[in-house]
Amino acid sequence: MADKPKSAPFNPLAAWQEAIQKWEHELNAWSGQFTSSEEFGALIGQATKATVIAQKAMAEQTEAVLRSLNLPSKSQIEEVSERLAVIEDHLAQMRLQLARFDSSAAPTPAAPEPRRTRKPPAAAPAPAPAAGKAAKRDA
Amino acid sequence: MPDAAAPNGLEILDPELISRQVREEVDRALKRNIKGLDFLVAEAAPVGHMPKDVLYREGTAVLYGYRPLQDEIYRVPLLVVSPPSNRGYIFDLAKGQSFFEYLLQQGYDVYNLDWNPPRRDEAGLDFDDYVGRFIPKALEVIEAQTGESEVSLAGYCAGGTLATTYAATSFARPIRNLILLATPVDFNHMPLFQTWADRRYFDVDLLVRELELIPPEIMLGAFDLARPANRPAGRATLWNNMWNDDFVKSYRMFDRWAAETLPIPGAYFGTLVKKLMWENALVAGTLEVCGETADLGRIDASILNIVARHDHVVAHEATAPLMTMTASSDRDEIVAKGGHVSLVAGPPALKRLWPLIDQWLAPRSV
Repeated sequence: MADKPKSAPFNPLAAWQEAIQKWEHELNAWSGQFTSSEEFGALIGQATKATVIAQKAMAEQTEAVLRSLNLPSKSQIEEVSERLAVIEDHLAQMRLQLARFDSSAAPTPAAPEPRRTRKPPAAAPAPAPAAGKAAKRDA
Repeated sequence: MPDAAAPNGLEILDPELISRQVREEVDRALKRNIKGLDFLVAEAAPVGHMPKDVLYREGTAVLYGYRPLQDEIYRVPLLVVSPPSNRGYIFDLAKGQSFFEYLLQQGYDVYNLDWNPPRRDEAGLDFDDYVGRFIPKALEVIEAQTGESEVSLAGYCAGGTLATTYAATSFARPIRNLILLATPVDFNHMPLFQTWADRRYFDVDLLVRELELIPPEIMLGAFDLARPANRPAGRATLWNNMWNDDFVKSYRMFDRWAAETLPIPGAYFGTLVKKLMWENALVAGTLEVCGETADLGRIDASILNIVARHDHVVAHEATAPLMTMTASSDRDEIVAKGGHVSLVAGPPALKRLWPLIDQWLAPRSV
């Protein structure tokens, strides 16, 4: 009798991983069908709208409470953060302008610029454009 | 006998093999528990590996110039446009896992137009700003830096859509090559987004008016609903591999990138939904940028269209007009194994895809 092909030893973790992958594919496939339906579009559209309105109402209430407690609200902290970001932005722009000024004043560059003369390796095929050429490759 | 097979096809029972396997699993279980605790208390994974300089910054827009690794580089510089909703460090995660590191090693002069989280006073930024202001300004800075007027323009996902739209305008600077990775152009073939932003039910004006900046949760929620098993399955896979430092490091970097999805300006989001999603304006030839129509037929640069075979975000069909509606006489397409992110990060891209990109781009960069 010919030898049977040697099967891999049972590995419970590999089996567990395989089961998870199977579950992942099956659940995603099912969900993919649901999320491509018009009902899903209607549901998500309404849910998004309701969430935005609810969040806005909640934010307004919270803001009122914080104001009455003399505490800064999220929007006020965000405002400060954004003003800091604007200052940082301006500082970065000034630094860039100064750097340009410095480099133009410098008698010699600090490091030699690389030469822009590189050629592709000999093995690389040269492009051969032809009218309407469209090639497809798999990777 | 050790190699006798059980009726269910499983092998019984080599005591030495089982003993080795038990030892290995106990060792891994111990490591899992120790490293699992480390994982829970660890700070954000460090990302961004290659040295770079900020060359231009204007609010949300920031142009990085990467320092060349070779003494002799290709003449034509390469500008990669990041998607406005994602951090550009996905192109440069870590040593040995960095698209930019690979390109720099091959002798390219690499620039990245990346995005900071937009401020509230930038909620009015629209396609006109991204395509008509930020990309042209980045190219102007690159020309001043390199002395080269020609450029290779690349983009990933929505960054590719911005690059394509720019190339389709009459004010575009000379573009030698256009390299597009998972770039949606035909939005009729974006089924998840079409359902999610169904114009009968989706009140985009309310969102833009009330939120000003559109938080990432709005879109990520749709992704999670479409593929609800991904997160728990990912966590289970992480637990299985918790003993493996390389896996955990890679997982943490991807996890950080996904968690740091950026908000996008409301006006840009409005145009994305109304013009691209509802009207498919880029394909229909009705997308106006800075008062003029973007025309795909105007693009005559060499095109490399790269798509992922299992991309659940951008289907192959959504990129098809790049190969059919452009005026270029030199168009190539690569269909890579894997999903949306695997084009720009991960070992398979390093081994298989990026060498193909280099092979295509090198002779077109002299």
